[in-house]
Amino acid sequence: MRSSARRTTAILGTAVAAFALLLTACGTDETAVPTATASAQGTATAAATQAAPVGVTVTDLMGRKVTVAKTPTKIVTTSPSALEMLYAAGGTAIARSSTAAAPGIDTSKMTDIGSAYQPNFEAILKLQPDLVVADASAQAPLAGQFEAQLKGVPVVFVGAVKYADVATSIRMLGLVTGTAEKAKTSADAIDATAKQVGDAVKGKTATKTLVVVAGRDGQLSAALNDSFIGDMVKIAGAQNIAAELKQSGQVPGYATISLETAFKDNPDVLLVIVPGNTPGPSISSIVARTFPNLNAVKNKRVHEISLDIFLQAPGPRAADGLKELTTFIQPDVKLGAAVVPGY
Amino acid sequence: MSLSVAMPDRRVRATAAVVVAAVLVVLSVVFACAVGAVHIPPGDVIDGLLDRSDPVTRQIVWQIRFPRALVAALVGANLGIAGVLLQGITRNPLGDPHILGFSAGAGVAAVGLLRVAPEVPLALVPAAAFGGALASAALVYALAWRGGISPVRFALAGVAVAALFTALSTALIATSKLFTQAALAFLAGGLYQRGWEHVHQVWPYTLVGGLIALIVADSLNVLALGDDVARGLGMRVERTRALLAALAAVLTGAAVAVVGLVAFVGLVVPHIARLLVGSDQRVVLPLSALLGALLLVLSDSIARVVVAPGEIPVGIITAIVGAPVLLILIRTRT
Repeated sequence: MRSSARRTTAILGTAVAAFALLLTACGTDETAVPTATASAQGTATAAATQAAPVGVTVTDLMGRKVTVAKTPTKIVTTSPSALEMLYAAGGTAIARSSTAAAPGIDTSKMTDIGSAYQPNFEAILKLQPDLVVADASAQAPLAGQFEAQLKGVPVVFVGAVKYADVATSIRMLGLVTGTAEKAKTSADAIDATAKQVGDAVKGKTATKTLVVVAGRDGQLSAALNDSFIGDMVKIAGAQNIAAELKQSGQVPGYATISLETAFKDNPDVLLVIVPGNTPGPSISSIVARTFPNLNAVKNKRVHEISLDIFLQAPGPRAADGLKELTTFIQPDVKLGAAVVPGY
Repeated sequence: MSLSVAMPDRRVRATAAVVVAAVLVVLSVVFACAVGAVHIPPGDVIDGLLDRSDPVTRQIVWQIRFPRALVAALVGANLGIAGVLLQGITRNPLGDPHILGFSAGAGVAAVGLLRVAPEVPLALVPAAAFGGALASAALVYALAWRGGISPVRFALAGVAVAALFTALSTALIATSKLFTQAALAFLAGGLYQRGWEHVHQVWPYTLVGGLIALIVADSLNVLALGDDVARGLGMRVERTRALLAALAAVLTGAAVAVVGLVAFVGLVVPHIARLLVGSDQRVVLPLSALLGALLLVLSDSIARVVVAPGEIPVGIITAIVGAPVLLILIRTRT
């Protein structure tokens, strides 16, 4: 009895070992095949590009050199910023990330490729795109995956850490999609808005301003100068009272703060970004109740500003956003109508 | 002995269970390669695996789905084996790397790393998780030691350490405030974009750890008789228990390093295995490895499909799938 049990164990052990070895064998042997094929393809593409230099080579917003061999007709965007910048550059997309949407862009016929944080590479591959526009901020950690999963498909990363990056991204996209003229018009208008605002606030006393983002859990973060919104309020004539804070938390350009420390410096203007549909009282009403003597509260200068435009989807709408910020921060400045053309 | 009378039936049953489970694992991997945001018929899956399909199908099947399913299978096997080992050591049906604090140690190490140095390459997170799991297991062991380990003390020390480390992880996330995507993703566990590199990262642990576990499985049977009887039979109880705990920690560490914290597999799978084939650990162990693989491969397939093209954390699915299976088995079998 004992020995037969031993034998069972031995058989089981051998079976499991064989099974595991089988898996291993599959893993090592056959991975070598696609790798070899892929590198062969890569070389072929490179050779073809060299032989017939019709393609456009650009440096994208992650500093990668990307060559697009022919004018793309099937463009996949993988983040809200990517979608909006592509349309501002005169391109059209066949796919977008789940939440990407902006006034003037018809997303009804676009394929949903999943969230910007977890783009679904199967869905992207199935579309057989000839260009993928990805996000240099949200998708920076996935850059390696984009290259590994989308072999042979050019991927350009766009994004904006500063306001000026919006125009840079759009101009770059224009070169890639063959719509450089349209892209230049949009980009020039976005740059012109910054110049117009900059000229208008020149010589004005900078307004003590604080920009806070309220997380879903009620935690607050302040935008530093090197965030997108931080750069924009500076252009709009603000003195960011959080500028001296050290970055903390997961996203570059923000520092975690508490309400008390946030208001120690008594900002004249308080700008609040609220992610999602937060149930309960808004952060601005809490501030008004808790800190009635704050300058910004007394003078009714607490404003809730767009999550989309200033945090989640930095893009062409930032030009209008910059004007809105200017009316909050330097209210006596008069600016003309929007200069950014529609898509 | 009554055992010898039951033996032939049991052996047939055990062999059948293991063979059926192994076949199901293979089928589940093929199934996992067929479903997703893009539907691929099983025939095309086979073509994709054999590199006879169009490049897009090949890429989806070979570079995205197949390696991901293998990672799920290997990790599920690791957690299943770790569960058997820990339930054996503690002689407690709630023995599980998650409940006994091993995973929580991995969690606090990974989250702590992301918190203290958010700019570190994400590639360092698995190493931290692996180290955290081992350190946490050592801590549980040390806390339970009073001139020896009692199974109950080991289990309670594990639960205490789990509570402490889970609280620490939560505190780290709560105080890091706004953007904690990477940390939360790790704690929820998931297989998004797990590929060949992760397969290669886990398989040596599954293979070597699994073989060692099989070799020492009989000592779990002896431990089940109680420490005094085990000593009477000539076993060096403390040394054996330490070895088994270390093995469970390594298997857990390798698993959580790759997929983050996936709860429930290590807990539920050994119970299902025992209900199917009885309590002989030499059968329960390989069967748990296979059932763990099956549970995680199927759960991950569901996680990829229900909200496609998005996905939900696989740990949620393992609980939703595993809990009813366990409850049904407990209630229908005496």
